Amino acid sequence: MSNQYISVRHSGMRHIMTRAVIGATVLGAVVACSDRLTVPNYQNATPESVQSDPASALPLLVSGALRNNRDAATGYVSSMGILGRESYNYTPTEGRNTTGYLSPEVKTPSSFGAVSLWAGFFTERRNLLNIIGTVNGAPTGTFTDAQKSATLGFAHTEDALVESYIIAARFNLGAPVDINADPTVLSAFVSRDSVYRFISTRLDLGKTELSAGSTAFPFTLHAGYAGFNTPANYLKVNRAFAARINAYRASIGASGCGAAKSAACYQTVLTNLSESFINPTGSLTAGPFNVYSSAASDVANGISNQSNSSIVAHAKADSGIQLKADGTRDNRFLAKVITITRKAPANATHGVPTTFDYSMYSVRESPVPIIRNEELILLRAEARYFTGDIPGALADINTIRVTAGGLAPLAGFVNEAAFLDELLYNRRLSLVFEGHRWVDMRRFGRLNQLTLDLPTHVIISELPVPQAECLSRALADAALKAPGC
Amino acid sequence: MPARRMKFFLIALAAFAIPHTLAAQTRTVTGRVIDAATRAGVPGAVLSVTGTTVVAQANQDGQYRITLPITEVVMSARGLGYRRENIRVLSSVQTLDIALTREAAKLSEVVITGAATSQERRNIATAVSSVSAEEVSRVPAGSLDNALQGKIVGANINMNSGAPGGGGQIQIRGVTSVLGNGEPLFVVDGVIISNATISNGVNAVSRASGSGFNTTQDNSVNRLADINPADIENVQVLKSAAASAIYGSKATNGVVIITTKRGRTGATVFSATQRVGQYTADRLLGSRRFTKATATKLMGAALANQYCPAECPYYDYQSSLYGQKDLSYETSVSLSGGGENSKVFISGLNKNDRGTELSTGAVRQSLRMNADHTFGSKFSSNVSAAISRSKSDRGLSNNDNTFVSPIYAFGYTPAIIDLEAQVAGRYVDNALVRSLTGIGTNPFQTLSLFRNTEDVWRQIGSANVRYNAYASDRHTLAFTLAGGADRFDAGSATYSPNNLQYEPDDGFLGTSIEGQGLSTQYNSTLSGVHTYTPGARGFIPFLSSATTSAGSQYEDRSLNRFSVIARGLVPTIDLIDQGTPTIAQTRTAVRDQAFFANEEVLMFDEKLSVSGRVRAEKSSVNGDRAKYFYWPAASAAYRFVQPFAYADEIKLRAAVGRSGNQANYGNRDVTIAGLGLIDGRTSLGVPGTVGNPLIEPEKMREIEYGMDAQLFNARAGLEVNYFDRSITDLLLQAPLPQSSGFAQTFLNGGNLVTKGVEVALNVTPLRGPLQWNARVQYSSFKSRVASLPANVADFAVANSGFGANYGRGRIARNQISTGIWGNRTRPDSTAVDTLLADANPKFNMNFSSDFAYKGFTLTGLLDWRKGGSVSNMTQNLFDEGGNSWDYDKESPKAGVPLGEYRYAQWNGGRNAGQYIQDGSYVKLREITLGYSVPASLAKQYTGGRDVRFSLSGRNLATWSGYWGFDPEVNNFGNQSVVRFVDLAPFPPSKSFFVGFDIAY
Repeated sequence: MSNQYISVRHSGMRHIMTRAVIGATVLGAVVACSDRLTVPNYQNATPESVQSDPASALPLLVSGALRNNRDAATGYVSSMGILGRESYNYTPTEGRNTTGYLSPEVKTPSSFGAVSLWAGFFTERRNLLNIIGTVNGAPTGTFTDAQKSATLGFAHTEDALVESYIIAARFNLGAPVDINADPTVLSAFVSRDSVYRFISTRLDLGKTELSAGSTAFPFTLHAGYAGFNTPANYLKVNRAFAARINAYRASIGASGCGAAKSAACYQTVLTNLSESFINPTGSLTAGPFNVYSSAASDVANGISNQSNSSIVAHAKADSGIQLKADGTRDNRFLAKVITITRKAPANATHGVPTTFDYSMYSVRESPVPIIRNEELILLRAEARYFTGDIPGALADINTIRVTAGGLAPLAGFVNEAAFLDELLYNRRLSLVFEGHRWVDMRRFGRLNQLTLDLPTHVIISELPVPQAECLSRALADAALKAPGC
Repeated sequence: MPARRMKFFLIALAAFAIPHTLAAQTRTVTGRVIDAATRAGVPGAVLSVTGTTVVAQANQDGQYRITLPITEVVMSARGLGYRRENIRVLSSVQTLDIALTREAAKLSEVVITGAATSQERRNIATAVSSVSAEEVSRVPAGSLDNALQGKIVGANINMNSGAPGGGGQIQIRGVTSVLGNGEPLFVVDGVIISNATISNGVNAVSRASGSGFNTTQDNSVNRLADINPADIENVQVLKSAAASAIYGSKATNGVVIITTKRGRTGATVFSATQRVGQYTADRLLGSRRFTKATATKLMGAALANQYCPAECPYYDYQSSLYGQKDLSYETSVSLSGGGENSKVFISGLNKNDRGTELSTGAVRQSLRMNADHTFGSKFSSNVSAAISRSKSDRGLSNNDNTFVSPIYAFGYTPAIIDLEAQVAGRYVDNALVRSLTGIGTNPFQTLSLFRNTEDVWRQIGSANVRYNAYASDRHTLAFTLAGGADRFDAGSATYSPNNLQYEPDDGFLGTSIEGQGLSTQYNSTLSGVHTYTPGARGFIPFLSSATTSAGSQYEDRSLNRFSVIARGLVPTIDLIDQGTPTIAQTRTAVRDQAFFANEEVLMFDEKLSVSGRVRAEKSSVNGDRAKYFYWPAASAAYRFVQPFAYADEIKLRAAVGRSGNQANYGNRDVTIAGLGLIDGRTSLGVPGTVGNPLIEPEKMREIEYGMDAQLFNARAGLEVNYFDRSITDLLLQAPLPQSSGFAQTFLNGGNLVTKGVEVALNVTPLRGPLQWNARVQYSSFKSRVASLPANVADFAVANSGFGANYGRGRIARNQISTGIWGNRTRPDSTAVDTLLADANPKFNMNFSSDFAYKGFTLTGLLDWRKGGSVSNMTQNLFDEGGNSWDYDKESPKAGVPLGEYRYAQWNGGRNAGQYIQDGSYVKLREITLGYSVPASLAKQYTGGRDVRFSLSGRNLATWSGYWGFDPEVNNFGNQSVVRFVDLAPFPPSKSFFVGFDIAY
């Protein structure tokens, strides 16, 4: 019995081992033919899917960037308008559009105003970064070097423009300039002047790239870029942005540029303008525009009178308007400012009612200018004046006064203050509700001349960094913390 | 000889007789397994010889045939609900009848413990609930969720509405996830099936969720409804992480394992069941009865005079609209039989439930064939295949912004206009509500012309092949290759004709929606099981048996949904190409690959049971697709046999395990989204929420302690569980630094904690000619948000309610996760958003009892929910419209009628608590009276073997202080976190059926 038992056991063990090995082998074989876990994202494109067909993705990415840009543009005009005392947002259900910009609470990161003019611009920069990444990562042969260069020139130029909006709102606080591939890695704030230098440098980079670019972009720009939709023409827009940003730097004496209003700094502006689309005899509205549409899936102009009747002109929009020879008011005022039924803020104690609105954006499809010939002529007047070409400055100011305002030409400026008064008057009316007033008054130290509706209101020189950004950086190293939080 | 254990590798395998490989000489023993008290056969009783693979199963009548070694053996016999008996079978015995005694604790039930193994309940160390075929199909149910209500301790099962065709939620042991899946995993015969809810697109008409697609407020059906309850042999619910760890990252919400019936050896048994009955609306509210004075106050003198010329009439809209009384019926047939090597089970169902709302109903048809075949001496295989069709027309209900949902419309319609009246063959224009609210509709017209049909074809099939590689008296080794697929296409067609009274309101006449949901899932498993039964001769002292299994698994699940909404139609034409279309589509696919290993050890005469298991799994939804996540579990139990007087045995057990919950499809992807048009061109750009390439599954660690006792000579069984679960790495949304260009992303973080108790007591007070079994179950849990990551602010749970004015769920640090948050007015009359109530019941309890005497059986099930608050927005509608049935009753404020008082107290939502109300109830879920005709009479008059008549009812009575129709409903359907919104639901129904069963 015992022997038999042992032999059975042994044979059992042998069988079982053999069979276990066979089983394990089959099991292993099934497992080995594995990797089936690569499932695409069916809903959305990913960087990988874009990379697999960069030539057809690029036009879509460019459209996306321009789409995002124009959404940000209306918010920019509206918010900058409130801060520069050009406009109000009197939405009945959201009183913070008044208190969050005009009351002392605007100075705190948690205010409603502090939320604005921030996240959307970084999203736009991320979009532009995706364009750069797509072109740089495209397999050889997808784009010619010239097409690549043209695309990079476009993206860098737009990126500089967006960064200029960011610093326009945060001014003395500075801003981050780097967008990191990993969104969880924080980018440090750099000083205001460093941001300006970054923008200027980036525009110059864009210029170099556009100059080496192909005759046509490997994508189509929308109708708002008519006349500026080839690398050669778009280069002129790049230079217009450079003129604007360098004028800003010159007027405040940004470090790296020279003393405030120094001739050296303004000389650059004149060079930039000479390469731009400035044309003193051409249409003042020449320039690229953001376009809108009321079609399904498209976006309407959100600050148009048709889409939002609560965004209205400042109560004192009619103050200080010069008269024409016939005694009527400046043509620009007559053309752009209309009278409406009295519109009061959500809470009457937080603001004053107004009876004015602007008519430039009357319908949902009304375009919003990005930069116009009229601004360039005024920039040249400014640059000419401070480089000592006072007759040239006078000529440019008179071009605008006569052509745009229907006013009598001036004979000259008694002093610098008189020139600045005239420059800022013309900039106010020529560029009204296009996002310039607050920036202009600030760079010439005249914020205190902006109208206070109520004694409780305040005028700020920059918006605080939004609370959300503060919180994202609350636990970070000191070097990465946001200023003013 | 010590009592030896036997072991089953697969539940299906239990039905097979596996030829003994060693015994050279055999004999055949036949006999009958009977109930010791009633002498009736025990159908499906399983006989086996310990220490061998010899197994046989008795037929419907308890008759068995087994091939035994020529030597004396100990044979064990067990049947579900009976105590296991070990019988010494002398070598001379050739016929043997075995009497089994009923036991309350079902210790001999076989419970699935792994992907390839099972154990007897007696030995398992985790809590597993099971529901038998008889319990599932006793009373006709709209869907399986419906049939399981009140039967699984620790599961909250709620039906979302009273509409025919199903739609309910099973939540096991509380909240496990906020953004992830909150539904259990359903496995039918080894196939992971989809319980997806495919929206029928009614939202395009009701605009309840604005312009969304696949929205949650459409009273849609979760597809568990396609399973035919009559096909089910049993339902086992793995609740703890220790039990479900083997299902890895799909298991935190529990696993519901459904095993269907299989053929049994013996003469072919044909059985048929015919049931005829009726659904009737329960707890209809009625509406306010106006007097001329109250009508004038509400609508002004002109309208009051127009509609109440003398006194105000009263039209009982709800009774008429929910008064469809057509007969419902259910016919099911099945055929079961087979020989030694081949067995087959075939079933068919044709069921037609008529809803209480006009023109609503649900039809379900299904066919199933399950076949088992043994070939050669070492191979066995089985196939299960079912095809089903579920067709429903669920009418209209729930939230709505266009006045099409009937209860919603009635809330604003004073019941003084005869909406059923016809003028020139057309329903009267509801001019009254139009003049009161500006928009209007006549629900009678709507339901007579509106069509909302859903037609689902589904196939579920599985097969496995088993190779018994080796069997000796000490070792067995088997390999199994199993696979299965579940596929359905859910087509919906919704048509709102041009002439409906609300149709002009959106500027387009007529709406037609065609939708499709295509789901395909399949999985395959290759596994090996080795058992070692050393007996007295083993190396390891005290070891009774060790079962080792290991294998690999592959799973693939995809879902593709699309719909076309066409507005502005040609009259009477519902084609979607006739109007202005909008099209939407979502598509997902998930693939998982896993390895598992499982070790189950019994020691000390099977008194100590220890098991450990682990699953290693990688998935396409994880950020790192190559990374394996490990889901380990360990459990141990010790049985004290007759520790003291009256205690047969007491088992103490403890288990700890880790299971997971997958991130959603796409959460890992850094996407570039389609942003829409600019200047006619499409665009791509940064989306608002971007995926996180580091996303991982949610992880739950659960510790469970329990006790199972069998007392008083198997007359009482007590099960007690305490669980403590902690879910970490929750899937959450968190903001990214805005300067990164992204708004937010998904991340893993935070911690939910749930603790709870479950108690189940089964007793058999009477065992004899009059038999009485009773069961009481109690469960209660508390769920809390222990922490959230620093960068995640407390947040409202999406789609859980309608904001702070009405209450909604909120995930807030150190607060219960099931709370209802809303506005409370502070003394300075400002409102603060705060925790107002708990939507989770304080406890659930159910009582069931069944009596059997001669041929008569009487069973009943009471379901008691204590607590659990509801946002009673239905009452808010009726109060706002001035039409609550109790509007004119006295209120605490003199001179102010009750409805006006309530509405004023609510204060425009600044005091949300006014409409957040206690949802406690007691429901008589089921009651059945059955009579089995004595076999002789049955034979004589019908030729059948078993003939049974039954009367059964579901939800025949509800006792609740709740004002609305039913505290169980939810406007938002199934929810991961909380469900408590009662807003113009399809009212609950009760049903009553007469049944006739016959078996040949």
